[in-house]
Amino acid sequence: MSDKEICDNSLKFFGAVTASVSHELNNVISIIDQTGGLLDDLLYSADTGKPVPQEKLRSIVDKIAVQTDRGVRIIKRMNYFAHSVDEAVKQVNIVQLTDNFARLMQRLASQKKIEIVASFSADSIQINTNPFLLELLLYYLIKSSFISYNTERKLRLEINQSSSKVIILVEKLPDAEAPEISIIEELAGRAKCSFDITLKDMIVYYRLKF
Amino acid sequence: MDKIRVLLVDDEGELVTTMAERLEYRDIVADSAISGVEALNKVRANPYDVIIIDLKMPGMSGAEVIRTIKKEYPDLPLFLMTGHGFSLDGEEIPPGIVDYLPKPIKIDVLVEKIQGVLKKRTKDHKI
Repeated sequence: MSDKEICDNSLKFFGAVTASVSHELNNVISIIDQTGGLLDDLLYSADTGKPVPQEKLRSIVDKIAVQTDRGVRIIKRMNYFAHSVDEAVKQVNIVQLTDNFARLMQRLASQKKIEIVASFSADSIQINTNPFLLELLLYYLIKSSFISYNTERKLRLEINQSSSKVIILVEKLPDAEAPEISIIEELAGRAKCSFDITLKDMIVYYRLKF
Repeated sequence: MDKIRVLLVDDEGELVTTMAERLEYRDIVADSAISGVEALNKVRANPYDVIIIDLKMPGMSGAEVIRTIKKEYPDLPLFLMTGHGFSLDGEEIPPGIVDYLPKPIKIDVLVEKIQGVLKKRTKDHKI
Protein backbone atom coordinates (compact mmCIF):
# COMPACT_ATOMS: atom_id res chain seq x y z
CA MET A 1 0.00 0.00 0.00
CA SER A 2 1.59 3.25 -1.15
CA ASP A 3 1.49 6.51 0.80
CA LYS A 4 -1.05 7.81 -1.72
CA GLU A 5 -3.29 4.76 -1.19
CA ILE A 6 -3.03 5.20 2.58
CA CYS A 7 -3.93 8.85 2.14
CA ASP A 8 -6.94 8.03 -0.12
CA ASN A 9 -8.21 5.34 2.24
CA SER A 10 -7.70 7.60 5.26
CA LEU A 11 -9.81 10.27 3.61
CA LYS A 12 -12.57 7.75 2.81
CA PHE A 13 -12.50 6.51 6.41
CA PHE A 14 -12.61 10.05 7.79
CA GLY A 15 -15.52 10.78 5.43
CA ALA A 16 -17.43 7.67 6.53
CA VAL A 17 -17.07 8.58 10.21
CA THR A 18 -17.97 12.23 9.63
CA ALA A 19 -21.05 11.29 7.58
CA SER A 20 -22.22 8.90 10.28
CA VAL A 21 -21.64 11.40 13.09
CA SER A 22 -23.33 14.26 11.24
CA HIS A 23 -26.29 11.99 10.51
CA GLU A 24 -26.63 11.10 14.18
CA LEU A 25 -26.26 14.74 15.26
CA ASN A 26 -28.95 15.68 12.77
CA ASN A 27 -31.25 13.17 14.47
CA VAL A 28 -30.49 14.72 17.87
CA ILE A 29 -31.24 18.20 16.52
CA SER A 30 -34.44 16.91 14.88
CA ILE A 31 -35.67 15.47 18.18
CA ILE A 32 -34.89 18.71 20.05
CA ASP A 33 -36.58 20.67 17.25
CA GLN A 34 -39.74 18.53 17.42
CA THR A 35 -39.77 18.61 21.22
CA GLY A 36 -39.46 22.40 21.19
CA GLY A 37 -42.25 22.44 18.63
CA LEU A 38 -44.41 20.31 20.91
CA LEU A 39 -43.85 22.84 23.70
CA ASP A 40 -44.99 25.54 21.31
CA ASP A 41 -48.11 23.50 20.49
CA LEU A 42 -48.87 23.12 24.21
CA LEU A 43 -48.44 26.86 24.82
CA TYR A 44 -50.74 27.60 21.91
CA SER A 45 -53.24 25.16 23.36
CA ALA A 46 -52.91 26.87 26.79
CA ASP A 47 -53.69 30.21 25.13
CA THR A 48 -57.00 28.77 24.03
CA GLY A 49 -57.87 27.84 27.62
CA LYS A 50 -56.61 24.24 27.81
CA PRO A 51 -54.22 23.98 30.79
CA VAL A 52 -50.84 22.31 30.30
CA PRO A 53 -50.20 19.56 32.86
CA GLN A 54 -47.05 20.14 34.95
CA GLU A 55 -45.82 16.56 34.34
CA LYS A 56 -46.08 17.08 30.58
CA LEU A 57 -43.82 20.12 30.81
CA ARG A 58 -41.39 18.15 33.01
CA SER A 59 -41.22 15.29 30.50
CA ILE A 60 -40.47 17.76 27.68
CA VAL A 61 -37.67 19.41 29.67
CA ASP A 62 -36.23 15.96 30.49
CA LYS A 63 -36.39 14.89 26.86
CA ILE A 64 -34.49 18.00 25.73
CA ALA A 65 -31.87 17.42 28.45
CA VAL A 66 -31.39 13.77 27.40
CA GLN A 67 -30.92 14.71 23.75
CA THR A 68 -28.58 17.60 24.62
CA ASP A 69 -26.39 15.19 26.64
CA ARG A 70 -26.44 12.74 23.73
CA GLY A 71 -25.36 15.51 21.34
CA VAL A 72 -22.52 16.58 23.64
CA ARG A 73 -21.28 12.97 23.87
CA ILE A 74 -21.32 12.62 20.08
CA ILE A 75 -19.39 15.88 19.64
CA LYS A 76 -16.78 14.85 22.25
CA ARG A 77 -16.27 11.50 20.50
CA MET A 78 -15.88 13.21 17.11
CA ASN A 79 -13.48 15.76 18.59
CA TYR A 80 -11.30 13.01 20.10
CA PHE A 81 -11.30 11.20 16.76
CA ALA A 82 -10.46 14.40 14.82
CA HIS A 83 -7.44 15.03 17.06
CA SER A 84 -6.07 11.54 16.39
CA VAL A 85 -4.45 12.94 13.22
CA ASP A 86 -2.52 15.62 15.17
CA GLU A 87 0.73 13.67 15.57
CA ALA A 88 2.12 10.76 13.55
CA VAL A 89 3.28 8.66 16.48
CA LYS A 90 2.59 9.39 20.12
CA GLN A 91 1.78 7.77 23.42
CA VAL A 92 -1.95 7.13 23.72
CA ASN A 93 -4.31 5.47 26.14
CA ILE A 94 -5.30 2.57 23.92
CA VAL A 95 -8.37 1.84 26.06
CA GLN A 96 -9.72 5.35 25.58
CA LEU A 97 -8.93 5.31 21.84
CA THR A 98 -10.56 1.91 21.27
CA ASP A 99 -13.59 2.70 23.42
CA ASN A 100 -14.11 5.98 21.56
CA PHE A 101 -13.65 4.22 18.22
CA ALA A 102 -16.14 1.46 19.14
CA ARG A 103 -18.76 4.04 20.12
CA LEU A 104 -18.21 5.97 16.87
CA MET A 105 -18.61 2.76 14.87
CA GLN A 106 -21.77 1.66 16.68
CA ARG A 107 -24.15 3.62 14.44
CA LEU A 108 -22.66 2.03 11.29
CA ALA A 109 -22.76 -1.39 12.97
CA SER A 110 -26.39 -0.92 14.05
CA GLN A 111 -27.43 -0.56 10.40
CA LYS A 112 -26.31 -4.18 10.00
CA LYS A 113 -27.94 -5.30 13.29
CA ILE A 114 -24.52 -5.62 14.94
CA GLU A 115 -23.72 -4.51 18.48
CA ILE A 116 -20.05 -3.81 19.20
CA VAL A 117 -19.17 -5.11 22.66
CA ALA A 118 -15.87 -3.70 23.89
CA SER A 119 -14.11 -5.01 26.99
CA PHE A 120 -10.84 -3.90 28.52
CA SER A 121 -8.62 -5.48 31.16
CA ALA A 122 -7.69 -2.04 32.54
CA ASP A 123 -8.94 1.55 32.45
CA SER A 124 -5.73 2.95 31.06
CA ILE A 125 -3.04 1.24 28.95
CA GLN A 126 -0.41 3.44 27.38
CA ILE A 127 1.20 2.46 24.06
CA ASN A 128 3.18 4.16 21.33
CA THR A 129 1.29 4.15 18.05
CA ASN A 130 0.04 6.19 15.15
CA PRO A 131 -3.45 6.77 16.58
CA PHE A 132 -5.20 7.59 13.32
CA LEU A 133 -3.70 4.66 11.40
CA LEU A 134 -4.59 2.35 14.28
CA GLU A 135 -8.20 3.56 14.03
CA LEU A 136 -8.06 2.99 10.26
CA LEU A 137 -6.74 -0.52 10.87
CA LEU A 138 -9.50 -1.26 13.40
CA TYR A 139 -12.02 0.12 10.90
CA TYR A 140 -10.83 -2.33 8.20
CA LEU A 141 -11.05 -5.23 10.64
CA ILE A 142 -14.50 -4.32 11.95
CA LYS A 143 -15.94 -3.24 8.60
CA SER A 144 -15.22 -6.64 7.06
CA SER A 145 -17.84 -8.05 9.47
CA PHE A 146 -20.45 -5.40 8.53
CA ILE A 147 -22.60 -7.68 6.41
CA SER A 148 -26.37 -7.85 6.82
CA TYR A 149 -27.59 -10.45 9.28
CA ASN A 150 -31.21 -11.47 9.81
CA THR A 151 -30.75 -11.66 13.56
CA GLU A 152 -28.88 -9.39 15.93
CA ARG A 153 -25.18 -10.14 16.41
CA LYS A 154 -22.55 -9.07 18.88
CA LEU A 155 -19.04 -8.24 17.68
CA ARG A 156 -16.44 -8.50 20.45
CA LEU A 157 -13.51 -6.17 20.73
CA GLU A 158 -11.08 -6.80 23.59
CA ILE A 159 -7.90 -5.30 24.95
CA ASN A 160 -5.75 -7.47 27.19
CA GLN A 161 -2.51 -6.52 28.87
CA SER A 162 0.11 -8.93 30.10
CA SER A 163 3.49 -8.03 31.63
CA SER A 164 5.17 -7.31 28.31
CA LYS A 165 2.41 -7.13 25.71
CA VAL A 166 -0.78 -5.34 24.87
CA ILE A 167 -3.15 -7.28 22.65
CA ILE A 168 -6.23 -6.04 20.81
CA LEU A 169 -8.63 -8.75 19.68
CA VAL A 170 -11.27 -8.00 17.04
CA GLU A 171 -13.83 -10.71 16.42
CA LYS A 172 -14.49 -11.91 12.87
CA LEU A 173 -18.19 -12.65 12.57
CA PRO A 174 -19.29 -15.86 10.82
CA ASP A 175 -19.68 -15.52 7.04
CA ALA A 176 -17.69 -12.27 7.05
CA GLU A 177 -15.03 -12.01 4.37
CA ALA A 178 -11.50 -11.50 5.62
CA PRO A 179 -10.03 -8.09 4.80
CA GLU A 180 -7.07 -7.95 2.43
CA ILE A 181 -4.20 -9.20 4.59
CA SER A 182 -1.48 -7.22 2.79
CA ILE A 183 -3.32 -3.97 3.62
CA ILE A 184 -3.81 -5.01 7.23
CA GLU A 185 -0.14 -5.95 7.64
CA GLU A 186 0.97 -2.67 6.09
CA LEU A 187 -1.28 -0.65 8.40
CA ALA A 188 -0.24 -2.71 11.42
CA GLY A 189 3.41 -1.94 10.65
CA ARG A 190 2.66 1.78 10.43
CA ALA A 191 0.66 1.62 13.68
CA LYS A 192 3.67 -0.06 15.40
CA CYS A 193 2.04 -3.45 16.03
CA SER A 194 2.08 -6.95 14.60
CA PHE A 195 -0.94 -8.72 13.14
CA ASP A 196 -2.13 -12.32 13.11
CA ILE A 197 -5.32 -14.35 13.24
CA THR A 198 -6.15 -16.52 16.23
CA LEU A 199 -8.87 -18.83 17.52
CA LYS A 200 -10.31 -18.35 21.01
CA ASP A 201 -13.32 -20.29 22.36
CA MET A 202 -14.05 -21.39 18.76
CA ILE A 203 -14.25 -17.75 17.63
CA VAL A 204 -11.90 -16.30 15.01
CA TYR A 205 -10.19 -13.10 16.14
CA TYR A 206 -7.86 -10.67 14.42
CA ARG A 207 -5.03 -9.97 16.85
CA LEU A 208 -2.94 -6.82 17.07
CA LYS A 209 0.08 -7.12 19.32
CA PHE A 210 2.00 -4.13 20.74
CA MET B 1 -65.17 13.57 7.26
CA ASP B 2 -62.75 10.87 8.48
CA LYS B 3 -59.48 12.01 9.97
CA ILE B 4 -56.26 11.45 7.99
CA ARG B 5 -54.25 8.46 9.29
CA VAL B 6 -50.49 8.58 9.05
CA LEU B 7 -47.69 6.15 9.93
CA LEU B 8 -44.27 7.59 10.84
CA VAL B 9 -41.32 5.18 10.58
CA ASP B 10 -37.84 5.89 11.99
CA ASP B 11 -35.51 4.01 14.33
CA GLU B 12 -35.28 7.21 16.40
CA GLY B 13 -38.30 6.41 18.57
CA GLU B 14 -38.35 9.79 20.35
CA LEU B 15 -38.51 11.55 16.99
CA VAL B 16 -41.51 9.71 15.60
CA THR B 17 -43.52 9.68 18.85
CA THR B 18 -43.03 13.46 19.24
CA MET B 19 -43.93 14.09 15.60
CA ALA B 20 -46.99 11.87 16.02
CA GLU B 21 -48.09 13.87 19.05
CA ARG B 22 -47.70 17.12 17.12
CA LEU B 23 -49.70 15.77 14.18
CA GLU B 24 -52.50 14.85 16.61
CA TYR B 25 -52.65 18.56 17.58
CA ARG B 26 -53.31 19.20 13.88
CA ASP B 27 -56.17 16.73 13.73
CA ILE B 28 -54.20 13.96 12.05
CA VAL B 29 -54.25 10.49 13.58
CA ALA B 30 -50.59 9.48 13.73
CA ASP B 31 -49.01 6.17 14.58
CA SER B 32 -45.31 5.33 14.77
CA ALA B 33 -42.98 2.38 14.14
CA ILE B 34 -39.26 2.08 14.95
CA SER B 35 -38.31 -0.72 12.56
CA GLY B 36 -39.09 -1.94 9.08
CA VAL B 37 -40.74 -5.10 10.38
CA GLU B 38 -42.96 -3.16 12.81
CA ALA B 39 -43.89 -0.77 10.00
CA LEU B 40 -44.92 -3.59 7.67
CA ASN B 41 -47.00 -5.25 10.41
CA LYS B 42 -48.77 -1.96 11.13
CA VAL B 43 -49.38 -1.19 7.44
CA ARG B 44 -50.94 -4.63 6.97
CA ALA B 45 -53.16 -4.19 10.03
CA ASN B 46 -54.29 -0.56 9.68
CA PRO B 47 -55.79 1.59 6.93
CA TYR B 48 -53.21 4.40 6.71
CA ASP B 49 -53.59 7.23 4.20
CA VAL B 50 -49.90 8.20 4.12
CA ILE B 51 -46.57 6.67 5.22
CA ILE B 52 -43.54 8.76 6.18
CA ILE B 53 -40.38 6.70 6.41
CA ASP B 54 -36.64 7.09 7.01
CA LEU B 55 -34.32 5.31 4.60
CA LYS B 56 -31.62 4.25 7.05
CA MET B 57 -32.81 1.78 9.63
CA PRO B 58 -31.19 -1.26 11.24
CA GLY B 59 -32.14 -4.63 9.86
CA MET B 60 -34.75 -4.20 7.14
CA SER B 61 -33.83 -0.90 5.46
CA GLY B 62 -36.31 1.82 4.56
CA ALA B 63 -35.76 1.00 0.88
CA GLU B 64 -36.79 -2.63 1.45
CA VAL B 65 -39.88 -1.57 3.39
CA ILE B 66 -40.85 0.91 0.66
CA ARG B 67 -40.50 -1.75 -2.05
CA THR B 68 -42.67 -4.19 -0.08
CA ILE B 69 -45.35 -1.61 0.70
CA LYS B 70 -45.44 -0.44 -2.92
CA LYS B 71 -45.89 -4.04 -4.07
CA GLU B 72 -48.74 -4.72 -1.65
CA TYR B 73 -50.33 -1.25 -1.61
CA PRO B 74 -49.35 0.48 -4.88
CA ASP B 75 -51.63 3.51 -4.27
CA LEU B 76 -50.44 4.27 -0.74
CA PRO B 77 -48.47 7.57 -0.79
CA LEU B 78 -44.99 7.38 0.73
CA PHE B 79 -42.77 10.25 1.84
CA LEU B 80 -39.09 9.75 2.53
CA MET B 81 -37.38 11.39 5.52
CA THR B 82 -33.71 12.01 4.84
CA GLY B 83 -30.94 13.08 7.16
CA HIS B 84 -29.13 15.28 4.68
CA GLY B 85 -31.41 17.00 2.24
CA PHE B 86 -31.44 15.12 -1.01
CA SER B 87 -28.32 13.12 -0.28
CA LEU B 88 -29.11 9.47 0.34
CA ASP B 89 -25.54 8.50 1.23
CA GLY B 90 -25.21 6.36 -1.89
CA GLU B 91 -28.43 4.43 -1.24
CA GLU B 92 -30.53 3.60 -4.25
CA ILE B 93 -33.75 5.64 -4.28
CA PRO B 94 -36.71 3.27 -4.34
CA PRO B 95 -39.38 4.19 -6.91
CA GLY B 96 -42.82 5.41 -5.89
CA ILE B 97 -41.77 8.12 -3.45
CA VAL B 98 -44.02 11.19 -3.49
CA ASP B 99 -41.46 13.58 -2.01
CA TYR B 100 -38.36 13.92 0.18
CA LEU B 101 -38.48 15.58 3.58
CA PRO B 102 -35.07 16.71 4.88
CA LYS B 103 -34.70 16.53 8.66
CA PRO B 104 -35.38 18.51 10.80
CA ILE B 105 -38.89 18.50 9.33
CA LYS B 106 -41.15 21.50 9.88
CA ILE B 107 -44.43 20.02 11.07
CA ASP B 108 -46.65 22.48 9.22
CA VAL B 109 -44.76 21.79 5.98
CA LEU B 110 -45.36 18.08 6.57
CA VAL B 111 -49.08 18.66 7.15
CA GLU B 112 -49.29 20.67 3.91
CA LYS B 113 -47.52 17.88 2.01
CA ILE B 114 -49.82 15.22 3.46
CA GLN B 115 -52.96 17.21 2.70
CA GLY B 116 -51.61 18.09 -0.76
CA VAL B 117 -50.98 14.50 -1.83
CA LEU B 118 -54.36 13.33 -0.51
CA LYS B 119 -56.19 16.19 -2.22
CA LYS B 120 -54.45 15.33 -5.49
CA ARG B 121 -55.34 11.66 -5.10
CA THR B 122 -59.02 12.47 -4.46
CA LYS B 123 -59.02 14.71 -7.54
CA ASP B 124 -57.38 12.02 -9.68
CA HIS B 125 -59.91 9.44 -8.50
CA LYS B 126 -62.81 11.74 -9.42
CA ILE B 127 -61.41 12.15 -12.97
